[in-house]
Amino acid sequence: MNTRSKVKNNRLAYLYVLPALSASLLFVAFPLLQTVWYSLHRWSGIGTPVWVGLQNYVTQLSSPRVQSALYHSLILIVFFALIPVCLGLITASMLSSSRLRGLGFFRTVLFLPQVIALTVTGMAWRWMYNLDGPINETLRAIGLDSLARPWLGDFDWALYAVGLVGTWLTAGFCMILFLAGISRIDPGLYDAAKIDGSGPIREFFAVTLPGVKPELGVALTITVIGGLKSFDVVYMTTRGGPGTSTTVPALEIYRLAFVDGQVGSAAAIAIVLVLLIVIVGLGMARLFRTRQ
Amino acid sequence: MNHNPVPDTRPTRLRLGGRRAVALVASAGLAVSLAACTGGQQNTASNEPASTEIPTDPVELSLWTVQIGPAQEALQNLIDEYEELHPNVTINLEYTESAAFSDTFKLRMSEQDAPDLIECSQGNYMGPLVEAGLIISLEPYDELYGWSDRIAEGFLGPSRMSDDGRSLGAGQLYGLPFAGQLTGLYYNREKVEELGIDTDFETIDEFTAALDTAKEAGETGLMFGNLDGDPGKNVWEQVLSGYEDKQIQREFVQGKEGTDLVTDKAIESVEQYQDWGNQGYFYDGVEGTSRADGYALFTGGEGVFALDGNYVHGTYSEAMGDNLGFTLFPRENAADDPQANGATEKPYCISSMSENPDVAANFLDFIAQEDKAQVLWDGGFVPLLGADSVVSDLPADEELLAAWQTLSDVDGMTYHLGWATPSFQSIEMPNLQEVLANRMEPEAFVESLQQNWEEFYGAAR
Amino acid sequence: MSILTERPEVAPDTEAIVTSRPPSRRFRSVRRAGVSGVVAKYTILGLGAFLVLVPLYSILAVSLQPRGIPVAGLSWPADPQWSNYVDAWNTGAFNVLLSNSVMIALPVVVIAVFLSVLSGYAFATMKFRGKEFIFAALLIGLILPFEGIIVPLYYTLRALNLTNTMWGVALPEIGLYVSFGTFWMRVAFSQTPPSLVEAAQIDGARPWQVLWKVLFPISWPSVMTIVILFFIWSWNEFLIALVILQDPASKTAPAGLGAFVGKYVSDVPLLAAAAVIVAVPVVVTYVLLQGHVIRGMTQGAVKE
Repeated sequence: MNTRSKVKNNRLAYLYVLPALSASLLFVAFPLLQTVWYSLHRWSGIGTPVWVGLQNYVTQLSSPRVQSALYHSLILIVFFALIPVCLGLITASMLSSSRLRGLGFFRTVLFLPQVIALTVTGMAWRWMYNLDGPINETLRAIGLDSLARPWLGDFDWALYAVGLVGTWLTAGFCMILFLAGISRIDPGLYDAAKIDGSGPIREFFAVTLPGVKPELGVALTITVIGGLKSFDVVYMTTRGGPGTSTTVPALEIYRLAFVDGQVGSAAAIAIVLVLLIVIVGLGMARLFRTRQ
Repeated sequence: MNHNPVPDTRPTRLRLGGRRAVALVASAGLAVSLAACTGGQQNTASNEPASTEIPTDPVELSLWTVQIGPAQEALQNLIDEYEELHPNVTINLEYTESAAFSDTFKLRMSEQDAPDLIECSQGNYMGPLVEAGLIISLEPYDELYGWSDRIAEGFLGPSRMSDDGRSLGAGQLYGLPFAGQLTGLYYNREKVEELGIDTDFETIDEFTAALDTAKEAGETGLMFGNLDGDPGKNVWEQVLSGYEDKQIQREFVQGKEGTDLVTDKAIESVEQYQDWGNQGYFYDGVEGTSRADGYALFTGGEGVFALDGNYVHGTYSEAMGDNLGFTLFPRENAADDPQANGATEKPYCISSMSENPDVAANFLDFIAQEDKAQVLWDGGFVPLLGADSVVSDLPADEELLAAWQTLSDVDGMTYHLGWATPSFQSIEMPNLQEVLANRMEPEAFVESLQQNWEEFYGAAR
Repeated sequence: MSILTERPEVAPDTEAIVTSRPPSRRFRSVRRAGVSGVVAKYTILGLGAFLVLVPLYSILAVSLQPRGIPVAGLSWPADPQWSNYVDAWNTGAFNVLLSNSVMIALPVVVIAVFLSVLSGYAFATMKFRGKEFIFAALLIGLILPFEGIIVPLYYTLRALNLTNTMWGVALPEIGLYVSFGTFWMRVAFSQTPPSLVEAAQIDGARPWQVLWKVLFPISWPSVMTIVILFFIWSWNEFLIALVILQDPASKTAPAGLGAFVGKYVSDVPLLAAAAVIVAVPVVVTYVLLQGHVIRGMTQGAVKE
């Protein structure tokens, strides 16, 4: 690890680590194990749980509702992660090469969606998508009346509308992340690329993209996980509707555990969700590991 | 400061750590886990016999409600009156928005500091609470106060529940209702007159014709915002009550063995609802508009009709005054007796966590008197007792009261289907949205309801 | 080895390249953009900022519309109704909601930061058995969302009578945030010159004194970053507040905002005003201390 002077097996260290570690074990690791335990039982939240083995997993994973929730997560990942990362990469590489006045202001604004409570932004977007809201008003103003619709209530559009909120949330964040990454790239590499006669596109793939590999890993990890969980945004905009066209696993967990009294099934979905998140976390770490 | 920490979650280490961490905590964890599961509730009320005596020391109660606007004000007025009579008693009104309420009432009621009094809808709310022992039987108080002598069994019936929480209408009294509830047609009087619509609809076809008239004039026929799926469900269930006989709805809700909701009439009612949508009689943004926004749009002049329960009466009449009208929804055939979805407004139940069930019951008895009719009526509630004595300000009030009379005379209440099972509405509401979007066949919709019912009652038997 | 040690050289932080001050050493020798390029760049930035601001502007505009009449479009109200904020504050009992939020955020920030400083110090400066393993165990909290553990959290906290209490929300938040905090403080302490610690040790300072007298003061900016981040995260946390706090009187501002819906049925402007009230404390914090926020969230770790 580090070259700092260290005492071999410093027992004192445990005293420093213990408080944080116990907080983490008690309120994160232990509940996680409990979730596994719950997922193997049938329990209504009250009374005695009944052991059912893996039955909750079988029932839930074969339920069309949960399957569609998982599918919606995939679509949301496109909007929460892939589109923002692409947008961020493109804009960051276009912006990075020169000094611009007032960038500080733009940075503040572009990062803003990351810090405002999702309940608030969810409410703002509900209004944006309202039949009389800004988006439809604009469409009508430019003569596209036929496109105006209640976006969040439309089976064909609601999921994309929710997804777009995700893009709004993460695109600026990705861009700022990549700007930081690009600034770290040795300018000499760009010079060399120029001398080799590379155009901007070739330069992007040869120099910029490899240079921001760590940031790419961070951005994808954060945004993909954001797309996978996505409870707040969906809860505040559509609550999974219309029908079940925008439901996501987190919403199903909430509904099953706290509304329908099927705690075991909810826990099973939670475990599936956690597994997906861990796979994403580890996968990204492996994919974007910087070799040296 | 400038390094990206992510790659530090490098796989080898985390995999190793994960496996060992599991082993480490597992043994300690699992033992405690089930203990937490069964951490249940105790009945603080059960030890002492019920009494009409209330203590003179300071007592604090809380009452949990979903009522809004004038209805909530009426509750507050009743509380104020009661507190004046019993200065040592304080009753706090807890409000929760209705969608959040139905999400969380079971959780809230299972906590040590659960509200003493809860407004709890029959069946789907009351059932789970009875099953879990979270609300107390009101039988002892009924004996002491004689509620069932005052309030007709037809109204008390839906507030009875078997002890396993599965059979509505059978068993002990768990809730006390004060007010009737019915679904009917609210209308914008000016618009109706402008369009030359006669609101004395004899048949559903006549009403459909009126919707068409509205559409031809560029108006929204039926106004509601269905983002959360509930208002649309209310509309359809009333249409169902127009087509199907009340008996089947009641037996469905009561869980009577062999009940089959998949009837031609039920399917026809879904087709009618779907067809209205396809004809463009509903608000353009129906599925993207929240319930509250829907109310606001109607009182603000959007739409000719609104089909909803009289729990919106106070809100509508406050905003629209003389311009608001009310009439019963017609039947398929003019010869049939009127039927309306509903029965009573949510009854009040007493938490088994309550430390003062006697005071809570005394407060309920205080409301269940004829002389409280006017206060309830001013809040838009149709009082079960003393309805003939109330004074109304607005034409819509008179119309609502008359409708309630008509309906009571023929015992035309059809009960909300949602009372049938705890998970019923989470099937009914999204599926009905599918129907409205022409993504589900009406027959498949009714079958999905029947299936939910059979899963629940099948498991019971 | 991890990137933390792979790249010992100091890279410029986010701030350096996106503010207007010249990034001196890093100045590009190849200028690819002429005047038209600069225009294109401002166009991109302007468009991005516009798209970010429209929804936020619209909720502000709506919050000032007169109540009781249908609201439409994006227009700024001719006669802004600032009284909507007073009404929203009163009907939403925002004094209660905001103070609940503060009462949760305060202990979370104080305790989680304190624990993070302690463990970050140990991981950065001490050697002990099981170090890597314990660190890996803590890492789970970096990617795990509350969605994954909310079910048992609720039922366990209920059994412990901690639902509807500030600790019911604060404790799980502390448990989750210490992962990030430990991580962050370890990096911060690792980057202090070893000579400082050695000098203090030669003077006979105990580890506790080294931490608080030497390392903590010079790492203050990093501590500040997690103070601010924990505050923002705790303030904005929704799911756990929604589930753990069932009693309306115990709700936090963001969760209470949901419950506020429908209390007065026909009030889009009032609801919008309430949303703005909920957002203001965090937005103000952010605008004042944005350097910390952006640095923490972009360079921090896998955390939303």
